[in-house]
Amino acid sequence: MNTRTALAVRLYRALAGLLPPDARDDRDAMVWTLEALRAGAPGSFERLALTARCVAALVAVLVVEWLDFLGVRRTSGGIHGHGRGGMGARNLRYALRTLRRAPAFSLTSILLVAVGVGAVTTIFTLVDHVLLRPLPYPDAGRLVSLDHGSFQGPLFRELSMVPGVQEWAGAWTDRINLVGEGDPLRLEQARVSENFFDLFGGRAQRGRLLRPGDFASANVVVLDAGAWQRIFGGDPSVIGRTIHLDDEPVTVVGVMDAGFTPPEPIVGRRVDVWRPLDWSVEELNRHDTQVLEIAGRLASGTSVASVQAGVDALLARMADAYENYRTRDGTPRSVPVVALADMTVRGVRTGLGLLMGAVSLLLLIACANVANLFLARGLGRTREMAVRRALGAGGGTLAVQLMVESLVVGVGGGLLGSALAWNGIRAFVALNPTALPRQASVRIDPQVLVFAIGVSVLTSLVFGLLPALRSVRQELADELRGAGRSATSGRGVSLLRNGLVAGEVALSLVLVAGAGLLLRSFLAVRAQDPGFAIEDVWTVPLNLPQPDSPEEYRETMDAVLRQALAVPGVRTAAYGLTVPMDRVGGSRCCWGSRPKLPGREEDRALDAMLHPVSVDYLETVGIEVVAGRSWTVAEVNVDPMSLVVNETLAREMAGTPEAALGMETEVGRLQAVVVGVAADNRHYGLDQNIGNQLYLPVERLPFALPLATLVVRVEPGANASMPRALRAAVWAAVPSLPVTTVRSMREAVDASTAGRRFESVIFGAFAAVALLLAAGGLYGTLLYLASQRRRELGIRLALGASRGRIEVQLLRAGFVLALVGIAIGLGASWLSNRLLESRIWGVERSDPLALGGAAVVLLVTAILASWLPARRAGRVDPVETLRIE
Amino acid sequence: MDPTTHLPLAPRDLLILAVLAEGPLHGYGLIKAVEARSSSGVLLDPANLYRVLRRMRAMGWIAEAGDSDERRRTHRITAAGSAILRAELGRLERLLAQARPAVAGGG
Repeated sequence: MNTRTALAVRLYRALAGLLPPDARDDRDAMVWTLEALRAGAPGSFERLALTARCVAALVAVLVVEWLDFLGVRRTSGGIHGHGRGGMGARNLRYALRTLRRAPAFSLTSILLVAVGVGAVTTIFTLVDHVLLRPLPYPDAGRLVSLDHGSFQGPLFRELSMVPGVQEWAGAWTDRINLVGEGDPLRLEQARVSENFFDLFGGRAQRGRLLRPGDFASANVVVLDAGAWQRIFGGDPSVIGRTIHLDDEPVTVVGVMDAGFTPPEPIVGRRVDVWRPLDWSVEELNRHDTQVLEIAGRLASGTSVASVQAGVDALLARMADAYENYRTRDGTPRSVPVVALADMTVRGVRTGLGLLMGAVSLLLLIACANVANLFLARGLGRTREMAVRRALGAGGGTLAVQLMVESLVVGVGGGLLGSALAWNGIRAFVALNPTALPRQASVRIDPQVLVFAIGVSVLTSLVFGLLPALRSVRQELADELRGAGRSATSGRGVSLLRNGLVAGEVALSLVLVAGAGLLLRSFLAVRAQDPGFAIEDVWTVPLNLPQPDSPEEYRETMDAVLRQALAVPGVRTAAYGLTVPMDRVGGSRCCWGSRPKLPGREEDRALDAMLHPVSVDYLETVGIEVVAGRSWTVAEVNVDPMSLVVNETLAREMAGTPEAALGMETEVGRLQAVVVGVAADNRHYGLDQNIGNQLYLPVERLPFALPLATLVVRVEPGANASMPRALRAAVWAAVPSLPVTTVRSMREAVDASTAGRRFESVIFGAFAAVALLLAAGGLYGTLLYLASQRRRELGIRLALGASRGRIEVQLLRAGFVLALVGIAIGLGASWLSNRLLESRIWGVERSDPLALGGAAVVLLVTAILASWLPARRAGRVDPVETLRIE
Repeated sequence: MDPTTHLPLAPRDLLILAVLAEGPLHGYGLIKAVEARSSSGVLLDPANLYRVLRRMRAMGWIAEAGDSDERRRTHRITAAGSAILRAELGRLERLLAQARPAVAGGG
């Protein structure tokens, strides 16, 4: 409750801020008075009613004050102008009075506009902050980045030869363990080149950033503002202190400014510690090790294309000199130069675009609905209009008045919509499981408020113009003549109204079908057989302090395994470089290999992902062995090395799993033999391709690894105690090892599909609102039709027509409208689902179930929406109807 | 200035002046006092109230009281405002005096 009350007052304050300058002085006093009034309200309902009344009054005052301020209205003669005001104010007053007299109509219209504007504003705010605004760096428009992965240190040094670039900066990110400050912590570390902070405009909040001198010794560190708060509680005395990162003592020299946003494509979303790039490290000087992410700033006036040419030329030279810069077919590696801004938002552009499309449809539907309401109301006021024209009001005057009415509705709806967006944006960011780049900076600001009001005004022009024009064109004589009887709408108007309703049905169908496709994709993904066990499996990703040798790595992990196996309830335990659902999505960790087969040409070698795993890995993770067996402890060091391949790879190698057994191959530089075939499993995510996978004993790796994931299979009853017990087990083995997460496989699988679920839920929500709006539109139209034809229906009933017949006739009218809308909608959605292509999985974009289902949903909705008005028409009392006439 | 050029006053304005005639008040106090006086339900909200107060200030009918601070602006009635109030009350009394016998006679 507290936050909502605060929100209402904040909204009031923000609105009061929009008063013209001469009135803005009273803002504080107004807000204070509102707060005092609210505090004095006897109950929460009264408080709500009071607040609503005050906000509504403020909106009206806002409009009038601005008219005064702009000199549209002269009121110096009196406190309130008794019709002495100018045109604008008079129209406005008249409009407000008319709208107040029809509260149901006004409220419905304002709510409809608010829903549409709120939805569009919410998504637009996201689009604006995430996609449209320049990145928060100096000369952000000239920042570029090298695409397609990481790069070698030597290549980075050569880049300075590329003309047209002011400076390049590189960063090497990895994780590192902070020890000796309470529980061991795993930190995100970025080692950056000298001009990195120049390029991205970083500033120190305390102490200093990196200096050229730091790069020689490389034993200093700059803390990120967040990490400084989190780990050291914002203690300024930490500057100058020595901390231990992976046992290496480094001196803290400064704290980054809290406002600095790390460039995501270069260093990732979060960086805890910034360190100088140590060029004496061997990996940075090798041609076969790709560790650096690279960005640069173009010299002013240089085009990306010319820099691309320079980079291409450099790569061609490098490829001539070194094998590592060539692709498999011998050509130089291709490295696109991409604007940093594009690279930052690449993954979310289509998703946000899609949402923007969906909410635009919603706004259109809401507009059509309001236009319909206005048309219907216009018909109801024919007599009023005719009388006023007969008394001398010009057609133009009346049209302007009607436009002012719709403008008032539009602005009111826009303000309410902004309030909705205010909440919507928070909800969206909080609920969205796939973090958006730059989302920390997303908030409603005046710019967005201007956008919302702009949209509302535009909207009101759209829905107000048609009814207004109609009122101008109407023949006076016809109206007066018609006014004596119940006014029937002209052919043109009913066609227009029907068209609007059919359009609403069509647009809703597009949204419902889209939601259906996304839901079907989500279900299809969930229905995938992962190929490994989901229940009773727990994983613990570990980041080992860089081990000195493969033996040290193995000893550490063996100690962890022994402790894990001693935990009560644990059946088996194993570890691998990665485990299923560890690296979901496109990034394939960590190596591919091309196992060579005897009798096969080099170019037909197979691409496979390597999984170095410990002995009981397959059993622990629950991957079935479909042929042969896994290797035993005794076989770990026997040559040729034992291999297990997945079914896909086995079929590729030999045609059937059984035939692959015993095949000899070469992996890396090791001779190996296939001893078993594992069932296919979706290691990299349920919606990812299976691909060729190859399991080999982790003991045979010739180098040390900094990564491992512990995995255990437990008794069904032991799940609850696992998070705590496994953490303790790891610490019992290696006290200084940070354990960031202990996660069940169920959680991991759920998390991997959370993005899809969110997408289908949000689309479903939009579709539901659209359905409701379309149903409302249909209902209103038929109700209006019925009330217009009351006299006719009454006469027919009096003459003996059956009620059933009349009901069916009206139902049929609604049905026909719905069918036309559905037909148009099916076509539109078949065309527009192309845009969904990248988001759907396992279903066709013309999926008959989704499209057909949407059609049925709309048809049922249409029948329900027509049924009530039809019944009402059938209940007409002929005597009473005729008496009214 | 001839106060009668501004007559008649809207009931809301009349009530505000009448309340201020009894002593200076801030916005919240004004709203409460006006509501208490008009059982017929003259509802005031901060936006409209301050709009009216701005106008009255501009006309010189009221002025900010000396101890007024930014958040709780306090207003007092001026001599011109009192004149307007008296003129309006006089007008209403004359009107009532003319109307009452008619009602009494007709009833």
